[in-house]
Amino acid sequence: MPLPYKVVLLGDSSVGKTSLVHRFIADAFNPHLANTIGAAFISKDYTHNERTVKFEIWDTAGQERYKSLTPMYYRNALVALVCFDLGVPEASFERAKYWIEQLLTLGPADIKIRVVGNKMDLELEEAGLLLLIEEFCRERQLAVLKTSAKRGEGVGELFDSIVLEIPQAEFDSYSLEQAQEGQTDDALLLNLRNRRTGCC
Amino acid sequence: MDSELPKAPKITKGETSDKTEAAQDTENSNSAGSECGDSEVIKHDPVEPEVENEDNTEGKTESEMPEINEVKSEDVSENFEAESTAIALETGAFSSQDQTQIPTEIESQEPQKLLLPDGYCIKKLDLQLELGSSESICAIAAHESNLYLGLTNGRLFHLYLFEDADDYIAITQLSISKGSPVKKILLLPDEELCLVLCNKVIYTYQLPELSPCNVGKLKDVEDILMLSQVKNPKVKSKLNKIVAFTSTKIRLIQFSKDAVKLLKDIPYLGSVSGISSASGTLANYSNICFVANDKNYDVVDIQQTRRIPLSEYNPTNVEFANQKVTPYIIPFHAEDKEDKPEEYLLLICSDVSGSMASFVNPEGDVIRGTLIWLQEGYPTGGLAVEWPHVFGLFWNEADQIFRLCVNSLVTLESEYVNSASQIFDNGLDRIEDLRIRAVEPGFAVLDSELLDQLQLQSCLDRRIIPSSKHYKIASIAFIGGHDLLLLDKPSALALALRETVDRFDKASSEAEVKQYASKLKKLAKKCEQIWSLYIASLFLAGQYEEVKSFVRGQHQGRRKVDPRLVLFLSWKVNDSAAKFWSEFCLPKLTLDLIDLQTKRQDSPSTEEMKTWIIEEIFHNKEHYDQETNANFRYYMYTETRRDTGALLELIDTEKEMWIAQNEISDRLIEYFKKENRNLVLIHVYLLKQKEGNKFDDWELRIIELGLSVLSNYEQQTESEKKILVQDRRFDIVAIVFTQLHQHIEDENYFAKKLLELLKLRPEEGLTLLKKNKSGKFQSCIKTILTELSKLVELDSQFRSLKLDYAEQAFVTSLNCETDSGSQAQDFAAELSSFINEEISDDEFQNLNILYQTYQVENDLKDSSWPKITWIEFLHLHFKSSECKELSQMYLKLYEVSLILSTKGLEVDSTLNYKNPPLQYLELLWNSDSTIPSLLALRDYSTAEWVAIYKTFPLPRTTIYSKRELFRLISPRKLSSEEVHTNIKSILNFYLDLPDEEVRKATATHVINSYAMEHFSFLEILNLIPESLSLWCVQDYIAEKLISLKKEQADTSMRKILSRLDAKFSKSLLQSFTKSHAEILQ
Repeated sequence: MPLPYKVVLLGDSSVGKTSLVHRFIADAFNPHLANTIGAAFISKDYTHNERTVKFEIWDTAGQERYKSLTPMYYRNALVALVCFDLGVPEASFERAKYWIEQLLTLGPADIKIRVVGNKMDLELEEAGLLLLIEEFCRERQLAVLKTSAKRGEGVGELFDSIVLEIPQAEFDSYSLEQAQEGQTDDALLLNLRNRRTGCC
Repeated sequence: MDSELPKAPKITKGETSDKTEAAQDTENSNSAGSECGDSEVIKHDPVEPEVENEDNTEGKTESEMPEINEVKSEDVSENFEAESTAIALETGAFSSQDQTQIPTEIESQEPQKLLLPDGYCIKKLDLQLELGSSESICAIAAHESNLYLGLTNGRLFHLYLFEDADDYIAITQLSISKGSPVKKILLLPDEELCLVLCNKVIYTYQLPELSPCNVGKLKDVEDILMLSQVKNPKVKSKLNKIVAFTSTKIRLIQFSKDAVKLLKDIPYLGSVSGISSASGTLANYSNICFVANDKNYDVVDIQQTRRIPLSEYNPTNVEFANQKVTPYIIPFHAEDKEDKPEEYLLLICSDVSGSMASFVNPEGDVIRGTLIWLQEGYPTGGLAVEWPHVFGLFWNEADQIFRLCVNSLVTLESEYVNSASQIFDNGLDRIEDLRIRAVEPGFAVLDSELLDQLQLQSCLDRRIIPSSKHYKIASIAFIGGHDLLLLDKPSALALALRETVDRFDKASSEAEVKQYASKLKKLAKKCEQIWSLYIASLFLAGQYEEVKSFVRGQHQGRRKVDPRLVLFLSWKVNDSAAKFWSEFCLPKLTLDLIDLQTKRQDSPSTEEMKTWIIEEIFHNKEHYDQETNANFRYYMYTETRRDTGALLELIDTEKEMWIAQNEISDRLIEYFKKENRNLVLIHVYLLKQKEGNKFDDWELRIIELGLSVLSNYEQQTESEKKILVQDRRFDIVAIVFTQLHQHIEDENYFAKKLLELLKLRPEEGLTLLKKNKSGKFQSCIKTILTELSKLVELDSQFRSLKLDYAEQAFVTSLNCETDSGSQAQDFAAELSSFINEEISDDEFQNLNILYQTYQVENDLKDSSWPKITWIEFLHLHFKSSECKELSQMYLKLYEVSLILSTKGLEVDSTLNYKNPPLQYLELLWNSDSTIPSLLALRDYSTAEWVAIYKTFPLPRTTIYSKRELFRLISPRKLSSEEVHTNIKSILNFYLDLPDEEVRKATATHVINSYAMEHFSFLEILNLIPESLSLWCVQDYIAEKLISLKKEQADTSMRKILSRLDAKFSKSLLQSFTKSHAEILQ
């Protein structure tokens, strides 16, 4: 089994989190996706640069109603994709900021945060605001990426970068564990395993 | 296990076959029980049974409830469960949170009979899951606010009960195994793990969100259950061990967040389900299991790896709907026994028509008796225990009916037997799919009874206020089809609360009242909102000291008590407009209780409590918020201080609050106005004014209030009158006068209010006026005094004051260089009036004497000149005279009259001019005869002055500013002819005098003084009588001759110079002519 890797998507409602995941999983775009209720779980084995990862993606609901649930999804996550809408960056980045601060304060210590500006196809030409966003992220040493789930731009690169950032040692260690484990139940039960779930 | 239950054939809706007959005596048919433990010996560990079931539930309940209004209902059940019948739902078994009702056919029957034990009903949860027609709910588990539902097609739903929500909302769904039903969901909260048994495989997820745990899959598992743990506070063992039943083994497995560990394998063929007993063990976990295989119930000693057969559960090999009978081992706590030991219900299918259940203790010994279901068939829909009832969904193969049977664990009798279609609403998708499930440790559902009791309502109008929801724990669910229903009963807390309040209200003795108040306290410890009810009960029970203790306690950091509650209890709040009260709400039950105590307002103690709570809050401001402090400050004034003096004292204790501008002070001011607390208002306004608060025209308010107090003096309370008399701060006349004097700039307002003040308190007012003569509006004050004199009989003091203000006004007009005519006129009139009316005859007499003295002393026989004028004389002598006051007034009148006469203005005088000195003053206006009169009155110098200037002279020393007087009088010499005429008349007067010496002296004085300027030499010579020798006027003649000589010399010189000038001019002309001619030539 490939190395499991938990990713959580956060952000305001309608910034395109589900579309982003949909593009990544199915390489398709559906403009009529309904609002996510609670959260959706999707997993996908993904190979890049001869490294295969089992992405376990939690696509959270952006609506205020579900705000209180979100911590349960970013718990144990290794990467958080905090999304905002490049078409309405001012409003959507406010919520993104909230999640960034939340993750930095209460999130897992080793979580990697990527700030994703989706809807690049609708991006406004106001450079000023984006500069402010970049400044905000730079101060917190966070990477900012632009994607368009509609056109498929930047989505693959986003997940590629996640794969590339995983230290090779983790793959090696995981492969070793896999090789040592037998396929029988007894062997399974008698072995302890350090899972890639981010648990302490 | 559950998914393998024989599916009941479909039944026709409405088909009823009620069987309410009691269960038969268990001894009749207890065949299986005899098999228990009769073959093999089971070695029991001498360890106390482990209590896991209900105690564990209790322990978890609080934490697993939504984080709102957590209620430990179990704690109160002990006392009140037996009384729950009082409010049990009477007619129906089915209820729904969406108000689904009992089938109508039941409702129409009379008398209506109960379908479930009293208080129980069935509620349908509105889950709004989008399920396919072929899938149905078949597994359930709950953790805190999370509910997990497994479906027959392998889907797993995660539902969440949001804070303040009525129902669970589906937030996530996972597909575990396509096409295979989820058989069991087992939660390990200590490890935050969720184990899902599906298609004989254990899938592991993280709690609560169900992230997959990549620990592999455990296969070939028939059933899983939690291994019972010993409750040992010294050993912090987690509930992380499970028992997995496989076809060949019973496996003990330990789960942790990142590992799975096999603890033990016990070979055992064909196990399908079981129960881990909490029986005594030396280990931290159980070593006894009750296991069911395809035929038998066995006891398995895990530690010793031994099997002890108990009984067959299907001795007649009956099948229902072509499916095997499922064994049931149901654990429960025997609450009818001390320590509530765990017992197990083992179900046996007797035959196709009936079943029975026997009971064993953790050691495997048969106990309690036997439950018999003779005609109900077998509980293919499951069996669950909620003490003291056993609920089972039975399928009867013979009559093809699905029934819900309820039996008592105490009496072992059948209590209720009703067809499922009768109990469950027709709205259910598939009644025949229903399964009953015990959900450990229970799941939170809306406690509508408690919510109703504790529904917040406005204390003013009983308006419903949105409030926090209350939840209770349900532990039995019915799942099947697309529905989830719960076996519901009022929470123990709701029952206890209602019961206590009812009893409190009906209590007849003080002891009873206190007893129920005490019970409410216990309930309040379980639910925050009940504290208000408890405090209300204390209050209504007259336990005021307890209430006080509560309120004071919060000042020391103990439980908060809304001070409005105590105030509300002791006072009929009528301040509905205030936001402070409109937002105050109490639970419905509290308000009901208060409403029932209608006499509460009559007690003097409540009045005392009202005062107490207001003062308590007022004096402990630091413990309360701004709004509370502000409002209690208001009540401090309006509700605790009835006396004006007390109000004034209170104000003085918090002057800073009054000086500053704030809403409550403004409200209080309005209140004081309404209550006519004028002294209080004056005090407040003065404070504000003194400290420089400029938000209002305080002086206007003070003046109006002061005048109001004075005009309504008799209406003041006795205490206010006392203050007015004794408290120097409240010298209202002085206050009003000072405000007028120092703060009022509007002359009209000033005049109006001063007159008002003087009318009300003339003597005090005049005294103040006298003390404060300087300042503005002097003429106005004088006018007021004039007007006042018309209205009020005034004494001399007043005339004097009036005169003072007239003089002050006159002097002011002099200094202002304005037209002082009218001021002078007024002053002259006042002076005249005063002289006329206030000066004694003696003073007049003395002035007459002085005047006569002047005339004597100014006799012409004294030849020295110049003669002193009467006015100068008076100036010199009045201070040593006996008519000082009159003389001074006389001199003032002279100066004022001099101005008036100069300006041609008259005096509105009442003077008695028969008096000679006063007659003198009259001469100022009498121009034609002035000079002769003056001469007659022997004021010769004045006559001569008048002869030249036609006005009286100013004395050397004047009373008023000489410069200003001089400016106003501006004396100008008459024309030479007029002066000549006047002087000539004076000379003639002198020349007519009989005394020759006097005649000579006076004529000499006139000629020497005026002849040079106004008479020719010849005229003088003609005027001098023969009797007057020339030497008398030798000075004049000598001067005149010198003057003539000088004039002659001057003329001669002028003639000589003219001649010389003519001669020179002639010579010059000739020279010029000659030169000109030469040039021309």
